[in-house]
Amino acid sequence: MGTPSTPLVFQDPLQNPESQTYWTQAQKGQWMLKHCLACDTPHHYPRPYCPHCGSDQTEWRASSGWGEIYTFTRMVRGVETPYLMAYVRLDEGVTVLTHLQAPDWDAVHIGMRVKLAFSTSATGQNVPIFEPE
Amino acid sequence: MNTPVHACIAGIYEHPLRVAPDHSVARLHADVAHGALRDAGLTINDVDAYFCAGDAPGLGPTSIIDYLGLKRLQVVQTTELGGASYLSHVGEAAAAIAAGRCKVALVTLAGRPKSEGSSGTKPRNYGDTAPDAEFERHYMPTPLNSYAMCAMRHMHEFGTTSEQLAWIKVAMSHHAQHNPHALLRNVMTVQDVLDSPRVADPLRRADCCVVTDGGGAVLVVHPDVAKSLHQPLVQVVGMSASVKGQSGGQVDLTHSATAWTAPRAFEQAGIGPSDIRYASIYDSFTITVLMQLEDLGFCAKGEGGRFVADGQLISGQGRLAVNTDGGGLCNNHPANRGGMTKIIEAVRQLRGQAHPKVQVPNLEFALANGIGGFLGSRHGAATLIMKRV
Repeated sequence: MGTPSTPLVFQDPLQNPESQTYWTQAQKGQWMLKHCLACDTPHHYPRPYCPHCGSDQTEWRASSGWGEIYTFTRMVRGVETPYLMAYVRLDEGVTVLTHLQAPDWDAVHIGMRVKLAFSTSATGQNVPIFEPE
Repeated sequence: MNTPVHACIAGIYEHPLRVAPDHSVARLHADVAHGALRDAGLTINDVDAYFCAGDAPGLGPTSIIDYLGLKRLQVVQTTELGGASYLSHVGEAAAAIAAGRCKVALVTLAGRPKSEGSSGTKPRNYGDTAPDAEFERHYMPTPLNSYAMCAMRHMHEFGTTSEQLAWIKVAMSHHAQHNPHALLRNVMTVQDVLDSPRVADPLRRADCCVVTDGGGAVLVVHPDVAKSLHQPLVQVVGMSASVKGQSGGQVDLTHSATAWTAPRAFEQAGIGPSDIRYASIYDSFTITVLMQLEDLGFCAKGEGGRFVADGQLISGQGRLAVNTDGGGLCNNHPANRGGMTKIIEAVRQLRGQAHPKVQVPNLEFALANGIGGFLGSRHGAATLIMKRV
């Protein structure tokens, strides 16, 4: 399929007071997960109430930033700039929607080890993506 | 104990247009409402319940009820499960009728995405207040990349192939050749599907449904009303709806919410998958059909590819006739919502009013199943079972 040469410029992410920690820490190079103190389980996307047990005893914790590809697709038609979308299963056990940047698109496969990286939006916000190890 | 009241589907109508730039969406709702009323032999003044989904124009049901001039409503309900909404509406209407709250329920769907330039490769904007928006929108989730990631995972876990997915499109095209209203009427081969351009791999253009304007309507009525009318009696005997999402990050893209709704609907109907010879299966993409067939119990999880291959969904030659109108893949997907046409073709089959080339003989039961929204992130599912009496 080949590897497109044009990198994607992300639109500025929406932000609100509840997600401020997520985006502030992204700017510092971290992917933040919400962790529930009641059932000791992480979740994503982040919420004030745990979607597993309903407790409001949730706190932000930084992910290791390592994981493996759960699934992906190469979006190549009907878009201005082709991109690689994926779900990555983080080592913390949470699977997150994201993008991949890979030097060789044809080498990308399910189960591939990937690590957190960042692209920037139009106005300079760090947007989390993943790259092959 | 009283005998349960089984409401009947007494009127159906599918808008004949596939491109309708000169029709307002409200007018399309009116076209299909009056079409279903004519089919049943009822008038607008008989309607005492109205159902639509969250996409109806203006203030939804409030605007359309006013526009249609419905004056004696006892029940008004909107359920939003994307394209699966209408299967849920039929079940909820039947429940309201069984509870004695109404006797004639109208369900309508209309839209014109074709004329408005909609595409499965464009992100859908559900507003800045969607709770996932600030974590996902910048990644540009679209119907295509969402369903493509489900297909990629299914292939990885179970060895499903592009050729097997292509057979689903091939079956729909065999049916669509007999439907004069179908948008795509040419019979396709597996190779034709494989030769169509990749959009979001593993999905190709031919794995995708059509984009069409138009709509459809059904009338669900009390059995006493149905018996006074001229159409064959089609009872609603089972319906269950549910929603599945990312489960807080416990993502599982190889099972749909149909795995939860199907057992409940079959239990209500008192039958199982082996009693079904015709099924309307929501076909936004080929992978959508394959996963529903597994989750409905027509085959084991992971066996969907083998179940659909070699023409097994073609009426008259396969093990299960599916979408004999050509489905969303070839016929019609009005308003980007395929649930309504799924109900309509199932009722045609039960009445014996499908095209003779695709009619399944002597049906007692038919099933319609829907997956609305995004299979790869959050979707609604509904299973509806109907019986000819």
